Amino acid sequence: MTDGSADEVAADGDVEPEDAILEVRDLVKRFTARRRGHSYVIQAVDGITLSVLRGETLGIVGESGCGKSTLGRLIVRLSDADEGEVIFNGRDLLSHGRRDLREARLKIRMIFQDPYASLNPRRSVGDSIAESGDVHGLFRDRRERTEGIHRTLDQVGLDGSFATRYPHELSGGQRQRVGIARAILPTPEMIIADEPVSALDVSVQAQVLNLLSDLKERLGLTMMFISHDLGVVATVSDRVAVLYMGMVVELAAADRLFDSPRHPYTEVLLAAIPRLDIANRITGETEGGEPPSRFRQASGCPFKERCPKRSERCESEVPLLRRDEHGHAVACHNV
Amino acid sequence: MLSIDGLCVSVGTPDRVLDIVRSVSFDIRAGEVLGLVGESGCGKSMTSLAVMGLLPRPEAWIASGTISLDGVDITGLDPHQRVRKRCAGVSMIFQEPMTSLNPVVAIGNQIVEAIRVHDPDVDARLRARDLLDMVRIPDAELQLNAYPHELSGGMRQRVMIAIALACRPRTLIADEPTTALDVTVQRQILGLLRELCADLDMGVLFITHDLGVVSQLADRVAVMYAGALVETGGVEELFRSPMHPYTFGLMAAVPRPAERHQRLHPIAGRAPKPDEVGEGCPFAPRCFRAEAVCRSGEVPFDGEGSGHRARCHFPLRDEVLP
Repeated sequence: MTDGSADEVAADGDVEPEDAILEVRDLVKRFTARRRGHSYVIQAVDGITLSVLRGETLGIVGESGCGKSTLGRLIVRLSDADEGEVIFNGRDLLSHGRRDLREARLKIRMIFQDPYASLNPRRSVGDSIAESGDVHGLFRDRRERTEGIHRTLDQVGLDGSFATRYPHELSGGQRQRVGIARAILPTPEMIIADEPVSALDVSVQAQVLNLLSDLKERLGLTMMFISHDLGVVATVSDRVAVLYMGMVVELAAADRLFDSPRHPYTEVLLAAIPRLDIANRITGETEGGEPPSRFRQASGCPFKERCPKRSERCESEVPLLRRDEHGHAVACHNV
Repeated sequence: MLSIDGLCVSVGTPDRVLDIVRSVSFDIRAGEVLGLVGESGCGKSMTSLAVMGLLPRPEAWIASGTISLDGVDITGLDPHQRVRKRCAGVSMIFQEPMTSLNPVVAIGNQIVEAIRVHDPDVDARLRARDLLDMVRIPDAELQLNAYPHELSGGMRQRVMIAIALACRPRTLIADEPTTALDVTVQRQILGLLRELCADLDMGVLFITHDLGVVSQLADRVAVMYAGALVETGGVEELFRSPMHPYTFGLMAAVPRPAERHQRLHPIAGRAPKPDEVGEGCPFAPRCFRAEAVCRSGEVPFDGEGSGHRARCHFPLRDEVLP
């Protein structure tokens, strides 16, 4: 992104560095794509700087292609960042050696959208849950391993008989509970949940969201909750970051963000959420356009084509993320 | 008007026959949107495939019931038979347009193909352009030559709608058409469907799991659970005072942005699979009002005169959401 963004963000009201368990600084990830004989560089994550405070849930929202999943994957190094720092408990994970990274991987755990895709269909639930313990040598003997599996199953609301079952025997909700059990087995400090309830029906989704908030309470976890669903994010998050085209365009306490959004994109997004609201009928098509193609290289504000508040400055200058005295950060020239 | 009366769909597995849609009845009138809501596996998509004559054979079939369009019985006819009998007035759009479109044929030719099946004499190219205008694809003339991968998800769904409109349908079935789209794009496609419904005086059967979408889009709502309708009614009555405990439970389980940091209210347990549905009300094991009478026999589908009905022995009256 631009120089000086770090200063802008560092001039941060409520977020003191010592409160942060995780700090992401100027993180950049580029992908190269070929289309019609041309090579394009796509900045999937385009200079993201944010902190996650110990014990909070930070919600990350945005539409597909905004970089929210890539951000999660860069933090746990499922994918390597091109630039920037990820500081976890005071140490930069991106410059870590392999050994230190193994420790960090037990402390930051990930939960994915589709547990069916991340569970080995030929391993029993118990073996899948114990995997991180087996790999990292956390169990002294078989008894300890069995105890670990049963304790974790109990924590996610499944009884011990599930240990010997296989993924295809489980319902979607049960599979996601197993996904959560795998994540919490090594007593992590932080969970990154990437669309953890998007594949579930509403009645089951509510069960899993309640489970996550109970576990967070009981185990003292910090959580980064990535989702496209603003309703879900509003329910679980303390603070929320809105991403657009690989950048943070707004970051604030959930109450402030949902009650008084300031970035024009956040306003568009909030207005578009389907709500259980019979007074607010859909009568016709609204203006607003679609997110531009990531293949196009454009200057200035990434939201300018769709923005009702666009001014001349937006054409050439990328707006920086600026915080007000309430810690409400917005990247817009015109608010 | 599309009328479905007592529709039952069965599927055959190697060892037995399962009823996956059980005695479903509803009408879709011209110019209205009927929202069919339910969770995965409740039979809502099977209902729509049966109406379209697209049930996967020989595994699934219509066991009983009738489907009629403007008084003509179309039960069990596949799309080819319907074209031959000149009663092709029902079209369908699906969740993922990319899998329904041919990736190596320009979209203009795909629309032309659909037009020729129904209307061999018309200037198909001209009509294809009109259809793209109708679904608000900018630069229609140019876009006729585009291939599906060159379009965004929202634009692809517009192309699917254009193809669906090629036969001038009286009823459009939309099965989760916006589930794969981002919210801002979803909002636009929903608006487009609403406008087409009014402009073309066409009935729309909108199938979704999303109560929010239904509450904002539909005129009437049918709620489905374990293969059967459990509640039907006008959108206002149904959401203002849900009668069936399942509808009530679904509404309470939806996370609402306005109510933050609160525990959600899930429905305990999970929906039964088709082979687990037994006697009595299928929702009884999860229901907070269930009593002995719910666990055996048929449950009547009753309600007031207004058309708001629920299949429940103990329907709710003006219960306040938690």
